[in-house]
Amino acid sequence: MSSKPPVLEIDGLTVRFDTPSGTVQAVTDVSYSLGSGETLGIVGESGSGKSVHVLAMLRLLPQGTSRITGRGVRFFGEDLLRLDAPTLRSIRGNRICVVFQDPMTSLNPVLTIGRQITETLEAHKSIGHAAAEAEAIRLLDMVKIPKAAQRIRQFPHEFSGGMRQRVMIAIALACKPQLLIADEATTALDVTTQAEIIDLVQELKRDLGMAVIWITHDLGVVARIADVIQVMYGGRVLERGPVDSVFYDPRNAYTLGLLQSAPSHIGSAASGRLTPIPGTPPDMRRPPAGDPFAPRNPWATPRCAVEMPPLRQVDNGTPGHLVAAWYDLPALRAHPQ
Amino acid sequence: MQATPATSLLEVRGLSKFFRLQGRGWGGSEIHRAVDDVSFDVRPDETLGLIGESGSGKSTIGRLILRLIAADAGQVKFEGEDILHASRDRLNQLRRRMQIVMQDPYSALNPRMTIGEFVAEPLVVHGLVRSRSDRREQVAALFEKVGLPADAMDRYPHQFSGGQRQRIAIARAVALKPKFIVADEPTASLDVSIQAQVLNLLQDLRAEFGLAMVFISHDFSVVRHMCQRVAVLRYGRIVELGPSEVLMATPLHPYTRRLVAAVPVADPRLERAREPVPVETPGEDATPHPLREVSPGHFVAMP
Repeated sequence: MSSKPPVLEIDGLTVRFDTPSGTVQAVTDVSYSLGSGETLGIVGESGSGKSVHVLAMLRLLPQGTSRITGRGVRFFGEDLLRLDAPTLRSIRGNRICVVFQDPMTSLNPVLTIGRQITETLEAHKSIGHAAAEAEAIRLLDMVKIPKAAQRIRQFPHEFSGGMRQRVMIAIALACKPQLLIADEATTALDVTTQAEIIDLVQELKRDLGMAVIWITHDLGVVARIADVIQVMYGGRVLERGPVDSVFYDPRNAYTLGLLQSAPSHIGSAASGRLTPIPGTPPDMRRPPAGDPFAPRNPWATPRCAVEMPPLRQVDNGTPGHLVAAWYDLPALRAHPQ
Repeated sequence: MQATPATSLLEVRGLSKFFRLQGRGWGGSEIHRAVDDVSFDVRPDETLGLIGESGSGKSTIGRLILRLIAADAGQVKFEGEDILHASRDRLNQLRRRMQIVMQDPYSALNPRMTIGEFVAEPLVVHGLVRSRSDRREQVAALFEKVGLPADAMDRYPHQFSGGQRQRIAIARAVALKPKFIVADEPTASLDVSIQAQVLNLLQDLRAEFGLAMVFISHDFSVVRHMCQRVAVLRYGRIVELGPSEVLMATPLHPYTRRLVAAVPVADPRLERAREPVPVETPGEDATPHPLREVSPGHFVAMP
């Protein structure tokens, strides 16, 4: 997909959770790669596996109840699934940083904001306290927190939600990571704050050349920041490709359903009906045998119900635009039965 | 502020709610103006959107107009009748015609009631069921309207998905055939494919019952889809009010302009062509200005 050397190559990542009511097939055979300076937007609804696959590849899931398998998650060639714990820790929070949705639960309530940033720097960059503190102030300035020199002495509860999320981003960027993963990082924020944070990440991406994985349910955010979009459903990748190609020429029925069900920002307002996706997402303890979207897909073929289609290059489309589907969506839309 | 159309179903004038913040400053306290001198009308069968970010006062307004919390100043009239000073008995009668649907359908449901009992409760409270079988029939009819299977009646809330729970909450809200509903972020916790189902349902019910609605949301595209008119709130005040299409195509207040520019649009080409989000001038939003009519029905707060 990219001529740049891959930052991340995920190959066949699969996650299972053992629960009293059965095994949850949270993520099944997810593979993709990401180059430096590239932004991958991952969309999907609750239960699609979009967040779990990130926790799995960084080995942040509880070990007792989860089973992770796969041919590898290579970060600059090193397999994260097989690294020893100290080496993995030296990568996490340093060369790979993650920002989660809720900044209050990610920050330590009894440490000052400044301490939480300097802690990261001292752990990973072997610099002295004074230098770390100067760097913390610079980082808070960079994420546009006013009066940073005073605010590093304050505690998380003295910051608003938007400010705390900026702090999380400052911590994530403190070590100049090669890969930033944002998991619904701006979902809980006001749109004006979200816009500022997205602009900031874009700017830093240009300056630092880092790769970004942005996980969201908001197609608008993906349209704004991503080079490549990946659509997940039922723990699998159903479509992936350059944003324009996927938005304007979707090949999977679920992608089309997502695009059509969101109220449009253009065209006439307060009119007509939306086109929802019928039905509800599958119970991943008992997922459908074939294509997970088949039970909700009006275009499903008999084969969809029994066999999962492979992710393959689309016909007559942009190179790198991949789809998992047994049906030919453009043909079906052009000639509805 | 606005010429009152003779046909208003709901009239809100100078509505205000202040919260005292304890312990700020020397032994004193500070007044937080959560809702500050807000006026608007809702016509029968109209949906008015209230849009704003956290702390804008939009949800507080929703609760004030149903008198779920007490106002500090102002007037709310429903079909000409004063809501804020109505007696307890009168208010209970009025509430048959005014209902609310909240954001989180799970915390709104009673986990120990079957969903059938939950939906029937307002009918029972207002003495509108004659017998057990009558109750089941009425609930079955409501379930059909909101797209729930009738045989789900004896099950409990935890057995349903988020979208279905919101349908349950909506079935209860329309049980008394209200004239007016406050919908407070009714789809904010739902996935987009499910959100579309619930928005369609609200549209259908609006058409069927001739419902008027105050639709509270932070999502511009949802408000635009659902509402004929929209009021933009900032620091407890309306900064702009007008037809949804006009307001989103040609926002005039600096805050509305910033808000419209900040909303990401699911269209990569439009996103690349977008203007940068304007920067807030310090204090620009905090200074209260009166609303002035700039074109018919389009009001903007300005000096």
